[in-house]
Amino acid sequence: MTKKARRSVRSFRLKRRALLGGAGATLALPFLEAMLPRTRRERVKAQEDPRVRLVWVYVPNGMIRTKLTPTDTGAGYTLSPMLEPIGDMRDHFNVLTGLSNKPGGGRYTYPDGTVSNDGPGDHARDTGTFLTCARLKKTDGSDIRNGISIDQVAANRLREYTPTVPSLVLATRSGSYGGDSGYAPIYKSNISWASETTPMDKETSPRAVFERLFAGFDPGESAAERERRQRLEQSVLDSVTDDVSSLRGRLGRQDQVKLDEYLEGIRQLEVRLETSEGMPICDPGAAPPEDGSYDFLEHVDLMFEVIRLAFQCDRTRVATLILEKPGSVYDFLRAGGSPIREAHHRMSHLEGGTNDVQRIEAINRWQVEQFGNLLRRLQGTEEGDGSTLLDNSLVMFGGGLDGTGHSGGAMGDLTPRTSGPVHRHTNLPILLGGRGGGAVRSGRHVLYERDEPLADLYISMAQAAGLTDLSSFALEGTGPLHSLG
Amino acid sequence: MQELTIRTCLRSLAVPALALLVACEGAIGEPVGVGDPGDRPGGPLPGDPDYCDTVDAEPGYVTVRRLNRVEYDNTVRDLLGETSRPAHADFPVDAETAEGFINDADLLTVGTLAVEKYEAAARALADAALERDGFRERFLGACDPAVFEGTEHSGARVDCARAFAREFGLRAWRRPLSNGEVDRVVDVVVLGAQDRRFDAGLELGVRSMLLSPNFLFRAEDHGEGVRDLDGFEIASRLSYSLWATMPDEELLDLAASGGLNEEDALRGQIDRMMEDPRFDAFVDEFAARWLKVSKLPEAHPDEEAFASFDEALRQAMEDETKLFVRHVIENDLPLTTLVDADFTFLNERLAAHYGVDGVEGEEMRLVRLDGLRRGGLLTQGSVLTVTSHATRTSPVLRGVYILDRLLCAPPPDPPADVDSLGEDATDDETGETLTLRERLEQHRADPECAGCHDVMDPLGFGLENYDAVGAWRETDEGEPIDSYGELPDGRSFEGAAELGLILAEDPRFTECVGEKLLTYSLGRALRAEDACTLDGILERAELRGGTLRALIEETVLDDVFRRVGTTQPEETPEESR
Repeated sequence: MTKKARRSVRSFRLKRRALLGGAGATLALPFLEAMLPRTRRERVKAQEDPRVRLVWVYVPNGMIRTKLTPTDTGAGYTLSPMLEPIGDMRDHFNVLTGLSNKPGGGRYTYPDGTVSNDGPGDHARDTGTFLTCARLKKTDGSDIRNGISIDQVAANRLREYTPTVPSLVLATRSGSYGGDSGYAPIYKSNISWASETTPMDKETSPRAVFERLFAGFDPGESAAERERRQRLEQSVLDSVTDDVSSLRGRLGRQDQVKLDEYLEGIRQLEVRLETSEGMPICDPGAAPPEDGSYDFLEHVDLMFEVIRLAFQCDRTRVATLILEKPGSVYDFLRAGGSPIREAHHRMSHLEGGTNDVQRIEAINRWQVEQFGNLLRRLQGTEEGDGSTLLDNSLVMFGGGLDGTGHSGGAMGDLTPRTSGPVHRHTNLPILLGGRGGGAVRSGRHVLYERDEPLADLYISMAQAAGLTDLSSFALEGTGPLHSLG
Repeated sequence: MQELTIRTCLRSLAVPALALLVACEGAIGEPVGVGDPGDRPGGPLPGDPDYCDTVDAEPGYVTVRRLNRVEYDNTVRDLLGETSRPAHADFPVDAETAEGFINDADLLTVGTLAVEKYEAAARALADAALERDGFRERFLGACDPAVFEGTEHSGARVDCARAFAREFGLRAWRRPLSNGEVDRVVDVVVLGAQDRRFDAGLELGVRSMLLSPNFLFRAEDHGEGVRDLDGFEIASRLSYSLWATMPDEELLDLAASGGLNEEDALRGQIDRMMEDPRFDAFVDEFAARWLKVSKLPEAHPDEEAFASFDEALRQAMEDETKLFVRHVIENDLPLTTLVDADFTFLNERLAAHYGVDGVEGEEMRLVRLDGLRRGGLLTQGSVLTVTSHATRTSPVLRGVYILDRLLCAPPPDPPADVDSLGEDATDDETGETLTLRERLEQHRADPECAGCHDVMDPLGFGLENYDAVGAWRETDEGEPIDSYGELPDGRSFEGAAELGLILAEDPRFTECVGEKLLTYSLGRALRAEDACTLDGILERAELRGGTLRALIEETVLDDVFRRVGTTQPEETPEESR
């Protein structure tokens, strides 16, 4: 940091324009200590903003566990074959084995004893309930019903710190991922839900995300010009708000929901307008390349990078990423000597025997490596107080299905047709990266033996990020998950 | 009551002459969606013969409809001359219904991200609009040229802003603006032009009107009881159903004069609209989505097994089906032509793929066929490819496609504990590789699976002469193809041509097209009562020769399309319990 730059830093509340203006105003600093007036420990003690970031990376179709789950537990656990490629990060994540998301099951007993039997559709329920832990209403019509997802619960509170971008909802593939056994496609296509009926729109373009995070501020704009611009933009927003009011009286009950959604969006634009100053200094560097100028693997890296940037610059605290859609073809991977050309979902039931096991394992191995890549990226970013971004994040990686037709036994047990439901919503494959600012002790394999609910883990994550009074979530979350700290 | 699906209703209204599905339903139990009769005391249930006599054919109410991405892009093209498809480039992707449509009013949610994108698009569109040729002439013709000079506020500016709000508003909001709405626009324009050139104010006005819910949503007043839609509401329903875009000047003129409320004038407009190039959007948004051709870009035929499959072939396949459907509509051909045609559209590339001689060049053109190997949707590369796996065909997927997309009778869910079908297994005991047919026959030996697979599989086997990218073949993995199929009622068929004839004779095919069409045209899920509406539409279309064109016309001429009621699905938050 130059002396000049240091002098200009007067308080935590720096003018965002000064730094978000692009190359002309570049301050080649990843982070300014000014952003952290006191040490993290001091702030946590004072129950101030812990500045912990939350990420969820979702993989569909479950994972084969034989080569993923370590055979022993605790801090000195032996790396499993699939974890070996990310062994360098072992101190920075936990393997959590045995968690469940029972509302995702075909048959489910509500806490009050009511039994619901919705039959097939495990893939819709895998994706749809992964972050909501709710019971999906089984419909292929438009009367959909899920629950709010944990990332949005967190975002709704943490937007206090990051008002312009409360959360990032990302995916490498846009659009619909298809229906499943009587479930509308919308369930299998979204993990983040703003409400029971409205999923969050997915963003797939790293460049568009970057621009939304950092663009739109003119460093050359004078105070008078800014005042005028804000006044004009406010007049547009006022005018359309009046239009909503006029419409309301003319429309029915169902329509009000749509107008409310729209109005919420307009309010968010107002927040952007009001907070176009007051953001901390951070140089995001060059924008990601244009869409279509990179391959899938680079796309994944770019998504990780925008998450890292958003966190580094404290533009948002919450992100979700659907790493791939269920029906994708991983033809850049090889198994048994040839490229994998079948769709992931089709192979995930392992009906092709050993061939499918090899291919799914290759996919799962690649997925775990991506988790490692994200961790390394966050670990490589210092926060200015000696900690790293990863220290102050919780990165949950995994899926909502056990994933294979066997219950963890030997390969000979892979007989899906005779072993009951192929995909179970218990014993989920979950890795948890980061320390959450000290809330989590990492480097361990923790075995949960009572089907502890995923929802409890989500409560722990949210509490670490500052939602300390969150004591329940969805159908099954009744408190923080034990054995994390 | 609202939970009853149209499927239930239609099934029982249909003539049960061809019992394709009896075995499937019988094996699995009650058809999906049948409510407990105890729910509804007294009166016939949907499906009872006299049901339609007892229901009040309430047209229903459609939730306020957000423009989807396609509609947005088409609308700004026609409103502003903007052809860069900003929504396609930047907006979140719209949710699909199970049928594949993206115009279901309830599913068209409005997230905060989308509103951000609308704002950015409105800003960019307004910025470009003032510079574009024709904009001034079209919307500012009445203004004193002096208002565009200088930066002084003047009464002439206010007059011009007022005229602009009315002219531009009528197109952008697809209806006349109220005085209060005009005043709001004028205020924005005047503020934006303060100490600036007038253009700056107009730009701000355009921006606010494009961000307005009156532009982004199509709203119909929700009154007491059932009412006729007004001319402007009908104009929008017509234009968005048939063109996926805003009404043009002729429709707006007729809307203003009341012409769209007269049946003859309405028929004339429908005819005109079907001849217009904008009608291509109907083929894209209705037919291509219904027939899953829109999923062709997502198909991944294996590069080694199907090395000849490339973008040119994929494009030709897509064009073939779209041109084919358009031809059936334009030439007023019977609906059943879709499955039993003796012609298609080919270029040299696709003809070579099909093994048809004598077609040269890239241009797609009408080609007469002998009707043996090719003819009808089921023999088109697009359909055959999207119903295949990457490395091989799937008789099951093809069977499901026929049941779901062409007969509107999707098979019930597989029984619990079975997620998918093992098509590439070896014999459990001998370890020998089984042919696809053998493998499926083994699967069907399981009585739990047999009920439906006895229906699905033989349909798909009828198409086994077409490989996973729709090329003709006589053998599969060295074994001769067996395209013999048998239906549960004992009738047998050999190959796609005979299967096409069976479908053409099945009244459920016609009903199914009618059902999909009504769903698309209304932009909402059908309710049980709609079965009676559909009955009427099908009857009238039949009297006019049973053509696809007649079916489309009768759909948009029906009361359900021209009136609006109040019935909406009830809020039942406890339902999922």
